Amino acid sequence: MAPHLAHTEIETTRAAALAAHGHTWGWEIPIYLFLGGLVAGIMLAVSASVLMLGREKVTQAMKRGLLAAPVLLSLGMGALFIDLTYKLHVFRFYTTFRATAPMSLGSWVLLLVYPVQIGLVLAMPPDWIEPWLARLLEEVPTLRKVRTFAERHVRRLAWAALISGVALGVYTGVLLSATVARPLWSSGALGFLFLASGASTGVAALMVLERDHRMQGIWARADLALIAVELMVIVLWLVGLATQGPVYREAAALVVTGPYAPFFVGMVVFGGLLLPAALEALSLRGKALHSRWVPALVLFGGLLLRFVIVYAGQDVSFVKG
Amino acid sequence: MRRVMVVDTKRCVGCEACVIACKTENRVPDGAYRDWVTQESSGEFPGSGQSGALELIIRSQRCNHCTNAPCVANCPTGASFFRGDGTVQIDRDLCTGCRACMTSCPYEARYVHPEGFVDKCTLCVHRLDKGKPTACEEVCPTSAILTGDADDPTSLVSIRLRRGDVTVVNAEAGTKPNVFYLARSAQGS
Repeated sequence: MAPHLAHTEIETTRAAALAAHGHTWGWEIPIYLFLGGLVAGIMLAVSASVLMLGREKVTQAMKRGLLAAPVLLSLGMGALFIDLTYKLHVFRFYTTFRATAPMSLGSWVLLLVYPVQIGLVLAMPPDWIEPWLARLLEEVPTLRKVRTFAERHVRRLAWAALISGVALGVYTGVLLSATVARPLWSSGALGFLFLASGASTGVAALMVLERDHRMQGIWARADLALIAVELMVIVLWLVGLATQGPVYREAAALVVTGPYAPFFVGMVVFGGLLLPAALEALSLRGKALHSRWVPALVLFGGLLLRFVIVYAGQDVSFVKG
Repeated sequence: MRRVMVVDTKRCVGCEACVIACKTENRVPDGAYRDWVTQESSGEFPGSGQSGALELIIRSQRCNHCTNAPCVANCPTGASFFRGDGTVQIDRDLCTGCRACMTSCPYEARYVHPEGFVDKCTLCVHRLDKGKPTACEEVCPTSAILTGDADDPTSLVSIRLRRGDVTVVNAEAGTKPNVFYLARSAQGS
């Protein structure tokens, strides 16, 4: 006797159009989310160092990181601009404030972050730009006043960087989780995941630049702790999805056992978190040298994490057929 | 006033006249749809008794003009907004094409217009305001589509909604849709 096959078949006018359009958000969004998180991480790491170790302990690597932060953020915003389909209306982000829309909140957070970054760079510039900066300060008296102000208020600026860094890092995750329509993103854990990952990549970027052996050890310990937090949040996020309902389980399966699993499990969790964590732990025990390849793995894992979440998130929706 | 639509799936024959009428009335570009027809076949074959019955349900679908609309909540510029009649509309002049609304819509009811702004069903408010039916409602040969004011207890939509045998598409998304379907559950597409 032939088996009984229960089945639902859905056919729709727009099936071809939906298939042809593919993902709504392309490469620009994960690039922006990565750079936003990275900048947030650099701000958090440097401001925490200023507050906990003192200004005099800020190394050249940290100063170079601070200088790179506004450049990286601008590149991220450039990616966002490329993503807009109605570019002439970009100014509309700044003609309104919408508390319910993470993208609106983020637009304003980005504007708040720049002055803090510029203040910190002026207060603690890398040595190699000092001669150039001195000439600029001679020509622009207002900038000189700003520098004097920044130098007097480094700790306050560090607190501002800490707060705006957390806001920036959390926002990159909340941007996705607030959308409702994408089951994979439908979790409050994403804000914490992107903050932890951003902080981890920020520390990793400083590890790449760092030449001070003592600071290398401090960064390695900090990165280990952040990787542990990130792994815990990943577990919480996936367990949360798996216990919500069929469409959420389908979304979680996409990254755990589905087509994105080699990238997520293999290259993000193993290659970008567990492997660098193990190597960092070995270097802290003196069984391996600090290598720039280790933080490079963390950075690559952080970038891939955002690509996987943004792309896989758009592959599962409530719409069937 | 709360404008809603009720679609009688027992009357719908899937002729797609609503799709063509909408495209013509609203100059919808090629490859984009403000409304569409979904045919859902389900059941068991070869079946036995009640459990083996094959079913076909046909729905004319569109933006659900949700009361709890994530597209409105997530729009960073206020381009997506609630009109006084409860419908969800788009102000093209405010739209940046960031597509946060598109990723927020559980029904994938929006598309990017070739000019750059995001577009979708307006429930033909330009017609309703003049006392005319929506284009899809007017053209429907079986009168399966009905639009009206759910706050008016004497309106036809209120009478149909009071029957109680209505459902919405993807209720689990929690957006409180205002397009209702008469007869059996809806999976969505």
